[in-house]
Amino acid sequence: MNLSELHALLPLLILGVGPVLLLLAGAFIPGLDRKRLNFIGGAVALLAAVVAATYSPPVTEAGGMLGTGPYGRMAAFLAGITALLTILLSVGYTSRRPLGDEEYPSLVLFAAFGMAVLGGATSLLSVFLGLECLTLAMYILLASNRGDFLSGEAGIKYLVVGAVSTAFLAFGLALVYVATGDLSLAGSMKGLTASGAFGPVGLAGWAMLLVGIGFKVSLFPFHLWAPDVYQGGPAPVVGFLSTGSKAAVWLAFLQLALAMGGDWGALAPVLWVMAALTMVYGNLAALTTNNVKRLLAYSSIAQMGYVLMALLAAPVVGGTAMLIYLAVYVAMDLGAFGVVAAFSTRDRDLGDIESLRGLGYVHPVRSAVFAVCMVSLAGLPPTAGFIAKFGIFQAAVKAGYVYLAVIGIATAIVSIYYYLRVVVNLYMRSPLEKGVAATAGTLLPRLDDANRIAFALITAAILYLGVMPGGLLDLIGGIAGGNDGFRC
Amino acid sequence: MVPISHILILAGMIFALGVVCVFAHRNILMILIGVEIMLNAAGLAFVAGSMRWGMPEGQIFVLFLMAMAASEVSVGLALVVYLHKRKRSVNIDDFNEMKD
Amino acid sequence: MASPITWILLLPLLGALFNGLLGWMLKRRVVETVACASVAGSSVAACIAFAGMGNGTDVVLYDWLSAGGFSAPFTLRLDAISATMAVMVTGVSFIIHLYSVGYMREDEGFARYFALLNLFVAAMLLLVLAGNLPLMFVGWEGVGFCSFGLIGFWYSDPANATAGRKAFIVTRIGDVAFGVALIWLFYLTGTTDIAAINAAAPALPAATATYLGLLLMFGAAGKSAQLPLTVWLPDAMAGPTPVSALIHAATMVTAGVYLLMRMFPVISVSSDALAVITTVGAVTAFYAATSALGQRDIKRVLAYSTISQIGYMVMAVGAGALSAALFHLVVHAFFKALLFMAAGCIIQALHEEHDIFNMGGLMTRMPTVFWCFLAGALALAAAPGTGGFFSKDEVLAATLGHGGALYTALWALGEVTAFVTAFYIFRVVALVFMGGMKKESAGLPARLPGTMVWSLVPLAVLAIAGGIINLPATWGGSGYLSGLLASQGLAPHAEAGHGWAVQAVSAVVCASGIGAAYYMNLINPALRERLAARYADLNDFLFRAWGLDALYYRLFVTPFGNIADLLWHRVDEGAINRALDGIGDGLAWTGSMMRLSVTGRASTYIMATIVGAAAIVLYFAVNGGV
Repeated sequence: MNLSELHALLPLLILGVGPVLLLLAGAFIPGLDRKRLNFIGGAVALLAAVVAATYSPPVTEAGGMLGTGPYGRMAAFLAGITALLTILLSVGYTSRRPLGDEEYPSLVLFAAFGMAVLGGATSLLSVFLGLECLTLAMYILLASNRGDFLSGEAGIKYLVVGAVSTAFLAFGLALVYVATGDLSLAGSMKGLTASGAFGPVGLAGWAMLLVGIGFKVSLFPFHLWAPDVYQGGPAPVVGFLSTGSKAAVWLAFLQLALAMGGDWGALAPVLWVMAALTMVYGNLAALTTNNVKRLLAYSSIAQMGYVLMALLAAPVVGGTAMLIYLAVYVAMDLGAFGVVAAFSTRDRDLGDIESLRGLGYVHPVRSAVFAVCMVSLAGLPPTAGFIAKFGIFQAAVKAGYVYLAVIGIATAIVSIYYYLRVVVNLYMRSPLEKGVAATAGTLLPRLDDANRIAFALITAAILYLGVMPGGLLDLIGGIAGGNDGFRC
Repeated sequence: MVPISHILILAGMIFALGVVCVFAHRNILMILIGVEIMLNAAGLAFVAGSMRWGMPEGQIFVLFLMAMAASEVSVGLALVVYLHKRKRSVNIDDFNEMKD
Repeated sequence: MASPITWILLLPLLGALFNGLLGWMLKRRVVETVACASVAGSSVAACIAFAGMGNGTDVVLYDWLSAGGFSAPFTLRLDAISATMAVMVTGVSFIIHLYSVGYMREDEGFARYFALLNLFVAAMLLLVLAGNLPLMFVGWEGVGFCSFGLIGFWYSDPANATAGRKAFIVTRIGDVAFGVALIWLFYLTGTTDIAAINAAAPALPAATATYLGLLLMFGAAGKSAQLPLTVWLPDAMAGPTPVSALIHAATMVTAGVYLLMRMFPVISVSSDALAVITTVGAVTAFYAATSALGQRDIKRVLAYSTISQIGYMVMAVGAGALSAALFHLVVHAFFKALLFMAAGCIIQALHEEHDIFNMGGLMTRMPTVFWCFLAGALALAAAPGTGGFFSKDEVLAATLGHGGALYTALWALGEVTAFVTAFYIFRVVALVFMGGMKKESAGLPARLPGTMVWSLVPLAVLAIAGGIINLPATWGGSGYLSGLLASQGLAPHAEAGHGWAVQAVSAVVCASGIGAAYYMNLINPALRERLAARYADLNDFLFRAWGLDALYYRLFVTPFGNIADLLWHRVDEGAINRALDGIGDGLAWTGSMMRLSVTGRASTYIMATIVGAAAIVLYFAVNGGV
């Protein structure tokens, strides 16, 4: 490793060293209250994102482990911005809940560090390490709400199932290594299909990898943990789990897919079935769910089915559509969980969907953000969700997965029902009893400025990208390798 | 030298034993032990790969694997202790307050 | 931004944004003025654009979406069809905005109402002016959303919210078909531009075109309430009456017809698809007209009437007579908006009375409303000389002129429907305006604000005189609209040959329908005199009036009533409704069953993981090509 490689790793260094310093500062500097610590954490994340976005390093790979070219920078930027938004959305929440003082923002930053490593990985080793760094931080964050037993339950459930899936992932990586003798991401994936088809060991390795990845991004049938964990975990943490951690895994998954070159081969039918079942399961299960966080969990499962569909098409048409979908998904899903966090009181997180009734007129800002995020998740214009869905359906059709696209469209239209149920409850239903909403409204916490900033950013992004997506399409199209299909 | 396939078969068997351990037990500690067995099977496979290709990378990976397994278990045990205080149980299925 | 075409779209959108964001803190007068002025400006822009249209123009606002050979620039396309639609939509919308000022004078949610109404106009115009399918889809979804919001406007009433939801779900089913057709067309032609798709259409295989035509028809059926997706429209009457007039009579419900007109070159590749479309249109027209006979609620009568009239338009598209479809669409917008608005006046004047059997004698008490309603009724009944006469006549003549046994039979069905139409609407006229007040407890009609009553007048004039936009040669006209469409190559050349014969049949049918309705009520005074002589007693006289109604039912309505009852209750509310509910319930039930797998026990989740892993490994072992 030389100096220019160290320069190139600047965003990662910020994300890695920042939380260590933050932990020390929390321990040794008196007078730093929770709010200040959160702001410092947010500033670190912002700095990392800004550096990743603006600083173009002289080398595009560091140590044979991490990409520092456009793709790696995008991963670092995504990690920084997700951490920033998560921390902003947590400022009010952590002031009401005992999530820890300096531990909370540092853990979020550690998770973001893991995200950046994972997303920018160019070696199977950095895939594994990034994923583990991210996952370990998530175990702790999920269980960190010490006042709430459900939080601990969410943590242990995620940990137990996660540990099993990690073991599958490790074994899968080992088999891939045995089959190819190469730990570099591109080399090993190319080696797997070098003879034209998968060898038995390589194929077994991919089967194991699919289990590990399927768990992290909650694909059928490895998705069952999601509703419980989402319901029990602290809302902003779950928002991060649902967006940042999944997005980073997808970034690595896409690299694996593209490195194989041209074709999924024997894997395609399995992925096809997983995508279809994930879309169907998530959307149908969400229809009659009443708990808002569980609803968002099923919604998130369904969304992952769409991403998998885009990934399936990626070797043929390029990954741009999938990356756009991910970016948009991060914004809208994080926004939704942010609203849930902002509506959560000292004692409990937002629960039944009925408790949203009539809030649209009592808390206009949060309700409007929620509505925008729901409309976007439902894929309706003029939001970014529409553009993103359009892109992936188009990609799937272009790659020849017409039936999968039809399943996707049908389930997406079914999904409009449950997303708009939230909007209907916010705006079109009167409170359960006269006056209840008014009093319930005053019981809900006030909106703080950090929340306002995060909401403004998210809403503006969703609406702007819905109307003027060209810039993002160009940007991501360029990162994904220019002329790879999304924009000619 | 031992043929690579033999080592892989052994690793596969150890992995399967770990899976059975995870599958059969409801005790969180036993599940974590099962996970350790599975991870060790992965480690064995990595070493086998290293041997097959004559490269040290696989062995490096095993070192990381061990470190990672240790940290995962430590977080897991901390969580078990914390939850045990609340529920007086280490049976994973006793933690079922959330369900559909 | 200089182009008037842009302003057509932009002004209502700005109005919606303004009222939606700032409306809550502004005075009612300001909100109303902004809402009306933005639509008025849009209307002016539409007229200017129409005048300067030339041979059709494209305006590319910016590159909205583009992806791998797929591009959906933000293109607005103005040609004879879209320009005519734009002028009609903005004009009718403006009048309905004015009317709404009066109608909503006591409602507190006025800012939300006007914002949604403006947004609706903007979305409708986007749908109409869109130059490519994705953009059209945006407008399509947009009008659906606004409709959903406006039907459920009085959300505190659960019935209204339910109706809004029902409309939303049913139209969604149609949207699936449209969405699939959209993707498929892109897959086949490699473009989403409407003109380019249409240019490529002749090369499509007929079988493919049949499926595409059916998908488009199904999509159109959802939006335009054609069989089998009619059920939502009558329930949508739960919304405020101006909304019914604007969305559920004049504009949004015709979007399906508009879609079929736009995509006609694709559909016309397959004669099977055309036959199905014509049949659906004709059968829907008949079904809805007979259903209208069985209604008591004045708005539901008009709702079924709308379904029936849209059936005619669909029939015209199926017969290949685009200009007839467009002609009828425009004229129908005039007279049906008029009828709804007049009905709204009556309902408000009678303190939310909807039942036509509780009305009566309003001719002298609300003369302006009466004359306007009469104008609308005449146009709906297609009385010779009115706009409705010419447009419906063209539809029927085109169907007959298409030739073939099926089309001739459908023409005959259309003539029967025309008779039923004349009958049911003049039954309403007779019951509401003639005779005496049936239910005195309703009290005297309340005074209505001038904006409500006087905004009926221009529509009444248009309903009567609307025929001039496409006057046939037999009446000394030159078929302006047909000529316009033909000159831009949007439709086969003007259907020249419907002579006096078809017109005469239509006139006779209309006259006999009105006559039959009047017979029941013109006999009324005579009978009344005889009865009055025998029992010189007002109560008895009223009783006899009711008795006459029973007679009138026995003689005439009962046969139709039975059919209507059968069609309405059994088919519409029964089977179709149940099927739709069934789909919804089935999906929800499936979802609930799936959720049983989320047991709350982590051991289940581990088991699922391991089973999933085993399944993948097994699959690879069997099929991996190892």
